[in-house]
Amino acid sequence: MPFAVMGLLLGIVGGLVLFTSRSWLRCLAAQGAAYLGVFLILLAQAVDAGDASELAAIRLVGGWMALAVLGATASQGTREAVEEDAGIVFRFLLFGLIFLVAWSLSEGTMEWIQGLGFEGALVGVTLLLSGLLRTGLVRGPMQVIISLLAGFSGFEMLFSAVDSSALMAAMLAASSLGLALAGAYLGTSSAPDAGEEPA
Amino acid sequence: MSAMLLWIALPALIGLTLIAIGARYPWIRFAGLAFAGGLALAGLLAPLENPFAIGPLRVMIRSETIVLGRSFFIGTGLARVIGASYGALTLWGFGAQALKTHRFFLPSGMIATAFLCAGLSVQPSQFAGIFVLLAVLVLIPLLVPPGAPASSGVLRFLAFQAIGVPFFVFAGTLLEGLESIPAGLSLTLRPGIFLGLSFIFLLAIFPFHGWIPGLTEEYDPFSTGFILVLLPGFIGVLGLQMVDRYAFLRGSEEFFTLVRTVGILSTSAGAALILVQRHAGRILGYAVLIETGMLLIAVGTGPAAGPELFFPLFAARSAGFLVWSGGLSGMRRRAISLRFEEMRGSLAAHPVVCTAVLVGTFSTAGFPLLAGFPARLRLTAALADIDPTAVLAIWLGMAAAAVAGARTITAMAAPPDPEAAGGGEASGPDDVSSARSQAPLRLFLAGGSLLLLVFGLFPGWIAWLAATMPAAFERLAR
Repeated sequence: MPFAVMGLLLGIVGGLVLFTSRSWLRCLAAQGAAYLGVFLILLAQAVDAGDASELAAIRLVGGWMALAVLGATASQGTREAVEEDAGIVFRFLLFGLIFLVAWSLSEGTMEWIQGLGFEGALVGVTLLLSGLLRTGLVRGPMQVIISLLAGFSGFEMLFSAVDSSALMAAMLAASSLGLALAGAYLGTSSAPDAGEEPA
Repeated sequence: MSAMLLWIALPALIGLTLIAIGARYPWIRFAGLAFAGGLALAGLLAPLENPFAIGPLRVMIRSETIVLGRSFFIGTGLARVIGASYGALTLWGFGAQALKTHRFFLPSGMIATAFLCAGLSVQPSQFAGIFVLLAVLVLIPLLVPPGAPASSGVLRFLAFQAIGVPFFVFAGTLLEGLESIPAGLSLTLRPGIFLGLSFIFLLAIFPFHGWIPGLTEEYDPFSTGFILVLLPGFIGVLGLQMVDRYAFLRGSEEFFTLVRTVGILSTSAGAALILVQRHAGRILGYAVLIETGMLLIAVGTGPAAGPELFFPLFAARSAGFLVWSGGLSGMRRRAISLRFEEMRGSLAAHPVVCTAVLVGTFSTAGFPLLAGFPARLRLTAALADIDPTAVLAIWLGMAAAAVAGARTITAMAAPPDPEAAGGGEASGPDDVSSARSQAPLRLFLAGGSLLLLVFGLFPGWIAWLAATMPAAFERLAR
């Protein structure tokens, strides 16, 4: 299976699990899969264009490092459950709506941002929209931060076709890491939430 | 020596050192304050690209530094803006000492100021967005001290700022190389929309302002006040830089009308919402909304007048909020609740602290003889021929803030309720108990209140301070 299609599947499934899951561990794993999806799509684009793949690697490593920081904080007993403001069916339907919107926008996005490709546009817009929407649906520092990271990963996917400088990629990775550190700081400050479902 | 090293790298390093060593001893914190004061003096007075003598040393500050292929350029005008920022940091730092805020105040503030200065000086401009986000992240410990719980207000603050940054980065990248494109071309439409969205989020413009009253209600008003002066100030200057850089913005009458309209909306919304508040912290939050609206109206007056009106208005805002938030923080430290129902009798019991709150409120309301008045007078005079609706919105904002001040007096001066005695919000961990330990706070608040009066009586002082700053925008100044 080509890298880009694998990346598309990982990105969408990761976004879906993140958006609908109640488990803290599954949220982390889903976002990790989404980062891997973005990496594979960027890798496929780099291979097609005959470019080096270090930008894709920077994004993957930066994203996973951010998740590792959050994971380390969660493993020390400051996990938060996603407080369910809406039921899982509603979340599932909402993600379906986001996916449809992203699908309909992807062609226009591809025309506007040259070199993005269908997979990049679809995954980028889906992660961006689902991350932003999830930010408004969850409570607790680390859940908000992981939603922001999801939105950022979508943005990085779209932005990679606009700016291919290593410095910008490194600074965006540093921003993701900074967000994760802020989440860890706020997460350790807050009292741990009770009633989390087992992963 | 390079300007980047002096005003960005060095303060960031000193701030990190202060965090690392803990800054538990007062002399370390005062050394940090002295350093910030030195940076302020250097920014306001030192010539750039010209050698000058400091005692036996001959020094030359170079404007441009290249780091990893990116240019950090600090010209004379921007150096004055940066100097004023470090000056403000020094004043707020003294306030933090007097109020005995937690030890991260100065280091976090210094690192954040350094990041924001980096954002103003970096080329290409899209990197500025990343520096703004890094500054926001550094400011989090200032709001939420270690061990304190994080509320929804701080999460919304973080989320809204983080959402604004990608829009800015995207717009900055798309606009690269389009500096000379005139207004009206479709090429600039999408980047222009992204740029607008980024500033709506970053400046917390109505209706994306919800986190501001949340912060001012839930957290230490002094720390919150500092953030609400620092971030909008730098983002406002960043906005002016964008207007200065891009011809399609500075040459578009529609753009300035749009900015003015957003400002009118923000001021009017703030004016309406401030009237129904019954918490002194939330009143401060909605005053921020009114002030931000006024700043936007000032920018919307036009390319030449915008910066000349922006800086005096902003200087008055900084001074007013310093005293106002200091007073509110002092009240919390005396276990006085900021809810109107629970602050009865506080004026008689704590006259200095309460007077500072009132002077700060009325300065923001543009009361004559206080610091806020001359800047508002200039703004309304400049707008009289351009946009009478904007003048009306400014008057509305001033009147609403004055009414909020009057309601605060009424609540403070009401006879204390014997049943409610001993209640109120939780005081800070370092509650001031003895008269001796209250002296620095009283001195700071009384001095600050006096300063607002002096700035109101001698408006030329603020005008002098702000006069050199519009030079940072070469094309707008022409």
